Amino acid sequence: MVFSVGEDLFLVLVAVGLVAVFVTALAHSYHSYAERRNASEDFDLALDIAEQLRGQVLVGENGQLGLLELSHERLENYSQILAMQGINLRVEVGTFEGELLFAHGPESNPLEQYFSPPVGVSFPVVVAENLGSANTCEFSVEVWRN
Amino acid sequence: MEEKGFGYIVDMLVFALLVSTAILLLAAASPTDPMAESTRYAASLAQSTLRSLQNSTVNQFGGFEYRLGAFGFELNIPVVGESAKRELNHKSLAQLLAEDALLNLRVEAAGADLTLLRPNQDMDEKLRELLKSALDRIIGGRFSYRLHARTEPINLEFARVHFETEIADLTQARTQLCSETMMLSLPASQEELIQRIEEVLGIDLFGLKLEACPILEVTLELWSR
Repeated sequence: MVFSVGEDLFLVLVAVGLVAVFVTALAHSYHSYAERRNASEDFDLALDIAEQLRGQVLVGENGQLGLLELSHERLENYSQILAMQGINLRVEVGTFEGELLFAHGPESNPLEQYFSPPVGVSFPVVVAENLGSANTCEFSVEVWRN
Repeated sequence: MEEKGFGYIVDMLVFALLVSTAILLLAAASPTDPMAESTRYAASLAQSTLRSLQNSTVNQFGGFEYRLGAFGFELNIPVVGESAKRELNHKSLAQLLAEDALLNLRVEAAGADLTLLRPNQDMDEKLRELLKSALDRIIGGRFSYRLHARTEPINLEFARVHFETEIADLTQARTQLCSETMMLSLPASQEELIQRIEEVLGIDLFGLKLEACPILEVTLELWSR
């Protein structure tokens, strides 16, 4: 192909421009797809962790399912296991009206977690308190990767 | 324009078509089924909710009391005074549901519900209101729901004795996501349950060799909105 100042060069510019636009659009589509896949995997991970905390890690000494005993020590040990796999954990327990009663773990930073945004799940639990009383609360688990 | 240049334009158009197809495929493709995720979360939430009903005491949801009565009328006679009032704030929601099942057994004969003397009928109505407000608070608008509690019916020759109740908020319900069940023991043994049925029917069932199962099946369905 012989380039000359005129039609052919204009055609090359149009072609390169079009290729650039389409490649960018393709890359963006793939990025969105990968983001959805990661969000879905992270949601599964958050749900697995929350179920493990509810069913094993925070179960009270009498082993009664659904009745949690909040313990910073147990959560710290569990967080360390997750940290070895590059996973950060924050647990919050609050009233249904939104008042925070208990929190463990660092808060996620939206700027730092730009490429791996935190994913959270929450469900109701009953937390054992002193003197045998119990309180129904909202249990929230948030996880994100390093 | 040269013939070659025209060929390049056609090549570009084919390329653009292929890339557009790839973009559309990627945009439409979902790495996972969003319904499967919702279903899994809903099942976990339903299990948590049922366990919360087992472990939460009634006083967290505003307390529970009712008055004994008959045929829907409360006993407000001065002689009876406060003795007709029952305060059950220390019990869990599940315990109350099991007690309600035992105290408010229904009798069906020839397909019709027989209205019998039920001193604890007020409990049934107030408990349904309490459970509705508790479920609204626990599930918190995340899903629509239906809580269904029933005992195994006891079939007699002339009647059918059972307990069945339903509390639901299905106003915005679209698709059923999950159904989780828990079994509760009624606060009575098999013999005591048969005695209770005898009281309800006002007859002796000694010769019938009845087998009554003192279990209450509680099912919670969650529906997407």
